This record gives sequence, C-alpha cells and structure tokens, in this order.
Amino acid sequence: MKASRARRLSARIPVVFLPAAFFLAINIALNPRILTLRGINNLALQTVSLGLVVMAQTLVVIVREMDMSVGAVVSMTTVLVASNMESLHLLSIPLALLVAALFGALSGAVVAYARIPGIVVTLASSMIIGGLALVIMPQAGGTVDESLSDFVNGQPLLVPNSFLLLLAVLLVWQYVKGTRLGTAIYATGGNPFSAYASGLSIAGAKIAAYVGSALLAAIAGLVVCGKTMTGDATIGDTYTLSSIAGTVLGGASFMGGVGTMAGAVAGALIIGILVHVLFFLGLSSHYQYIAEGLILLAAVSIGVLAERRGQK
Amino acid sequence: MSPALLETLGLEKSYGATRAAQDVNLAFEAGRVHALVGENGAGKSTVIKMITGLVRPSGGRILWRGEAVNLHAPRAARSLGIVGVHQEMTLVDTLSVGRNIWLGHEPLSAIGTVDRRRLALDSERLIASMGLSLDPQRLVEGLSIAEKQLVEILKALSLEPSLLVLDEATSTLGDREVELLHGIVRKLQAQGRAIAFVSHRMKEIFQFCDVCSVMKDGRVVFQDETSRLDERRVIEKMIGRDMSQGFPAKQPVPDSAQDLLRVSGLATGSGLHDIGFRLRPGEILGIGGLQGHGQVELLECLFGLVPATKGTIEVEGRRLALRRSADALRAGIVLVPEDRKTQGLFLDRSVEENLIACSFGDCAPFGFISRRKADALVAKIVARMKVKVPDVKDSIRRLSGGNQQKAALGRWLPSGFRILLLREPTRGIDVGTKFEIYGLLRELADTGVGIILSTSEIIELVGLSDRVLVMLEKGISAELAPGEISERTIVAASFGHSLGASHES
Repeated sequence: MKASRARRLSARIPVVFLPAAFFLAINIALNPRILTLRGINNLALQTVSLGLVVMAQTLVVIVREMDMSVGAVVSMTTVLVASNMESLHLLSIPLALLVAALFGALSGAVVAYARIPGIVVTLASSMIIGGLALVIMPQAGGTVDESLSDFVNGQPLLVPNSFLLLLAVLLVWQYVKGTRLGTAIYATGGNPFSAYASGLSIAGAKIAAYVGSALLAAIAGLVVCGKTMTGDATIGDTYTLSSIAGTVLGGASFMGGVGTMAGAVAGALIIGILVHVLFFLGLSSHYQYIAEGLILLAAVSIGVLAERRGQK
Repeated sequence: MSPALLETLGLEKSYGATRAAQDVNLAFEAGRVHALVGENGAGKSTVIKMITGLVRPSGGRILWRGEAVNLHAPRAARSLGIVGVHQEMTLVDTLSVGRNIWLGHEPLSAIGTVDRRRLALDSERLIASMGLSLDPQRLVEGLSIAEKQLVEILKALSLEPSLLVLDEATSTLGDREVELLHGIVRKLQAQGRAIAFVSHRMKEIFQFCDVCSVMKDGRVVFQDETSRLDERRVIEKMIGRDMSQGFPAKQPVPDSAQDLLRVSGLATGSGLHDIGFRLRPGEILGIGGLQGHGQVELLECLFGLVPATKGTIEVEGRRLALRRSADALRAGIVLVPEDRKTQGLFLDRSVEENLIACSFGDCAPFGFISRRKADALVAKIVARMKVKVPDVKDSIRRLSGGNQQKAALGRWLPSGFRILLLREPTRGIDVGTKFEIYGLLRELADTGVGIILSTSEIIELVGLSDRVLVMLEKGISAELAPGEISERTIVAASFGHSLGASHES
C-alpha cells in the first residue's frame, strides 16, 4: 500500500539507526579498542566505499529506477586508474571519473528515451563495463601512485580523509537537493506524470541520477583503489547487491520519490559494522551474506510493522 | 467579439486508425469561460491535452494571440501562460503542498537553491487569497481527494495563467468547494483571463460558463452562448437524442415488506455513531451529505472493512458479525467501490478475467478454469449489463469508464447478492451511459435486491432513491421519505437544517 510513504520513511529512519547502534554496542563489547580514534578510523575507512555506493544506488532509486552497474563501475575505475597511472599520473583519476560519467549518461539516456526499465539497461551495461574492465586488465595488477593511497588513508585532521570525502559528497548532495534539479529528481520518482505535466524534464532527472550514481560509484572505486593499491576488474562485484541492501536499510522506497543520503550512509554503516562483528566473532566472511539478508528482512519488517501501528 | 487568446484551426489527433479529434475549431477568448462538453470519448480530453502540450496534434494549427505555436510539451504551453488542471491527479504524494504548488517554478535563492521560506510564504499567501485553509507544509499524500483537487487548482493559479484549462476539475469537489472555485473563476474572468471548462455536471456548465461547445465523435457539433441554452438542449446535442425518459420510474415498496437489512445503533472507531436504518428488498436507499461526513465509513463498515464498535447489523433478521469482507459476501452483501480503477478492477487483465474474478468457484470446479463455463458466464454478464466490448480478451483498461463500471457491477451478478453497496457509481461517466446505469440499477432492484447508493451528485439521489439518508458529522441528520426527497431538502439536511414539512416537487 502506498498509503503513507513518508510516514514509512519517518518510521524507518530511527529503525535504521537502531540496528546500527545495536551492532556497534556488540562491537564495542567484543573489542573495546574500536572506541579509540584508530578503531573508528578503521571502521570509517571500511564503510566509506560502501557508503558511496549505497548513495549511488539511493540516488537512482529516488527516481524510481535501479542501477545494477555500480559494482562494475567500481571495478572499472580501479582498472582505469591502475592501468593509466604510469602514463598519465594523477590525470588518470579525472579520466576514470569522466569515463564513469559517460557510462552513466549512456545508461540514463537509454532508460529515459527508449523507456526501458533501468534495472534491465544497467544489468546489460554492468556486463559490458565489467567485460571491458577484464579486457583492459585480465589479472589484478597495475600500479597505483602512493599519493592516492596516502590521500585515501591519510589523516591530517582529526578524521581520515576518506571520511571527509564522504562528508563533502553529502554537502554537495545537500546543495543539489535544494536546487530545481533536486526537486525534479524527487518529483520524477514520486509521480513521473506529474513531473512532466508540471513542465519538468523527466529524462533530465533520470539521466542526472544515473550520471550522479556512476560518479559516486567511481569515487568509491578511487577509495577502493587507494586501499588495495591495485586495479582489479572483479573487486566491485559484491558492491551491487550490498548497495541495494543498504538502500533498503537506509529507508528509500523502491516506489520512488523517497530516500535520503543520510539514510544511505546509515544503511552502509549497518552492513559495515555487521562485517566487523562477524570478523571479531571469528566467523568466515561467508556468513556475512546470510547475516546481511537477515538484517535486511528484520529491518524492513520492523519498519512496516511500526508503520502499521502508527496508522491505527 | 473580443479577440481570441487561443484558437485552434482544423486541429486533429489520430491514434492509429481512430480519430480522437478532427477538424476542431475552437476559440478561447479573454475574460470568457468556455465550456467543452460531450460524452466520454467524444474528444474533449484529447483537445484539452493538445492545447496544454500533453499530446501532440497530428494535424491542424494552434494560434496563440494570433500566431501559430508549437506546443510540443507542457513546458512550452506553460511558458505561454496556458496551464491545465487535468483529470488525472498530477500531484507528487511524497512532496508537501507548497512544493507541489510551485513544482517546476520554485522561487530560487541567490545560489540557485529553492528558497523554502519564500516558497512557504508565497504558498500561504496564495492559499489565503483563495479563501482556503491548508497547511503548505503538509504532505500531499495525507490530503483528501477534494483537498488534492484544490491543491491542483492552486498549482495552476500559481503560474498566473492567461488561459486556465479546468478538465473535470470539479468532479471530486463538494458543493462548498465548487462554490469557492466559482468565485476564483469569476475573479480570473474579471482579470481578463480565459478559462476552458470541462465538466460532466450540467449545473456547473450553466453556473460558470459563457459559451458552450459540444463535442461528439471527435468533432465540435454545436456551439452557442449558455444564456441561450438549457440543460436539456445541451444533453440532447451531446447524446444526439432526446433525453426525456430520464430516470427510470420508481417502484414503491410496500410498507409491509420485510426488512432485508436492519442497522441499529451502529458506531465505529473512526467516529461513525448512532447509525440506524432499514433497507427493504427492491429498494434503492440513497446516502447523501457533504463529502467526508461518514458515507465512506458506513459502506466500509457494512462490507466488513471497518469493524463496528457498537450496534447491530441484521440481514433478514439474522445478526451478522462482520469481521472481514468475506463475512459480508457470505451474507450476500457486495460493494462496488468509488474508484473502479484502483479499488475495483484488475486494469491490466482482460475483460473476461475481470468478469469471472468474483466467481472462480462457479467456473473452476476443480481449481482449473473451465473454458466452457467461463465463456457462458462472461457472455451472460455482458448481455445482462449491456457491456460494450469488442473482444472480451481485450484488456479492461481499453473500455470506456461507463463500460468499466458496468463490468465492475456485473462481475458480482453470478454470486446472487441480495444487498448492493455503491459509491459514486457514475463518476467520470458520460451522460448517456449514466442513464443506462441508472436503468440497470433499477432493474436490479426490481429483482428484489436492496441497493445502498452513496453519491455526491444530488440529482442522482433525487432521481434514483426511494428513500434518502443524509449524513452529517458521521451521523444521520435526516431520513427523507419518498415525498420529501428534493434537492432542497437534501442540501438543507447536509448542513443540519430541517425544512419541516415544506416540500418541493
């Protein structure tokens, strides 16, 4: 029932932070060292790339579409950076971002003008992008300049740079959300006919969302690249499904028009902390998927139940 | 004659082989309200959509202040000052009232972001200037249909249109809101703006409009000043025949008849209270009143969708415990909801599938649908309800509103129901089909079915009901006996006045 999407959102946001706090508590109990600046930094570092990818997915979900290519874009970015670092030096970074934006624009244009569901278009584009990345770099490798790693892992201020990067992205989003483009993005997802009849460009909003999504995924790729110091054409694979899980946990609605970037970060945080907990419990990372699935189900059920109670 | 603001010359629109509109020549003049009437499918909406840029014409020209223009998108029309309030709701549920009003033309701050403060102030000013009270911060999804419609109108007004197009903008409004809109239209008219007005309600056509153009089969077949017309004449032009029969004759139910349904002291958690009435076989009981005074809750309660907290419901002397709709169905009570498109029909399925949806058991004895039985059932319903359908395998979405409504009603026929609950059965249906549906309802009643009809169209209540209950503040403010039913008595009771014994017609 679409009766009250906003109430569902408001019901879900605290619900989103609850499990995050719960797992954080377990985490602290298991490993008090996490409360040190270093521990927090580690956690932040591990969550930043996922957070960016969840934001990418959330952006597209807000316009009532999906992006199955975020993982492939992450991989492609690491590959492009690592394979061009020697010849282009740091210019390989804007190049990788440009390529990602181009892919996003193409996907968005096909979705908007051919009116093919985004989930299908980006499934195809994810195969194409992933395949291209493998062609460019069949085996993980390449060289990555120390400076990228230094930047990503560095911490001249109180918090790591990568964390500041996330904050910067949030700030940019805060601005975009306030513009007409931001309104168009939310309106397109909330009611496409209405957006069109109100003189907004649906195509513009969708293309912008896909470009934004690809750029965010590429930035996530840069963070990953800075951590691993290699290019790897398959490293992003797991990100796609996690991004969808994080988006749901973050309170966005697949009916479109509802979702926040703060929620997206919270969604990523839940998954990130969960991984941490499992690690300290000594469980293999395979359990991560099972746990992720259970959390997803639990969070959504609690949200729906809370909403139902709120209606009575 | 004042110069036309917008003029169409030989405007035409074809969808494949069907011509939705052809050779349409209309002129919308400054300071005049121009009514466009016709049955559903006559081409009004197509014309409206072409002049607001939602649909591109296949031929002909549109002149704006004498110059040919290309209205390729709503954006283009809006930039000229042509703004439409459309039949389909165009609000974004997930945004606030204020954001919806200014969607696409929000006031911006120096750095290009939406100026929320000014937006809120402007919204308040606009809302107040129309004599409404609405919180601009409220989310649209929480509003009633009538409120949404008003926001829709505010949204159009915020653009200060030169030509305002109202396409069925009053269909969900109560009398008070229509009165408000009337005032707004007058004001716009005085400011020299043009208004195109589409409505199925004849009364409004004569109340609001200066000129009336009648469309039929995609063409404009008649045009005249409303001052020289009357309702009957317009209807004749619309349907192309004399409408003198009007409503089917009422069959008085003898007082001695046993009660089919008896409700007493009924109350619900949603505020319904002290509801008591009886319904006899063969009777059509009308439910009137202003919008939102408990009509919906009453029907939902009788159908088991809303639990009763007090009181009793008896069918043929047997007390019912209605916990879910299945309980009501078992007792022979069916509900045809207000919005057939979202609450009644499976729009993407075929006519056939929709018609057997309520009687799977009859045509699928072993869990598999028997083709023979299904065909027979469908043929029976189509014939009985006079559903005009080229092929029952077609998606029901393609039927006209009237035929969809007949299907929504007809699919209950095999269940042999005794009590029919109806809500706004003729909303958005053209005049000709309306009368067909009235006839069908009376025929149903004559077979011994009891009908409870809730409608906001007073003419319908007067013409069709054997008795009328008027609701006020979730209770019953009056029960009108056959001799007392008139527009005046119903309106008076809606506001809590009693007219005593002074009857009208």
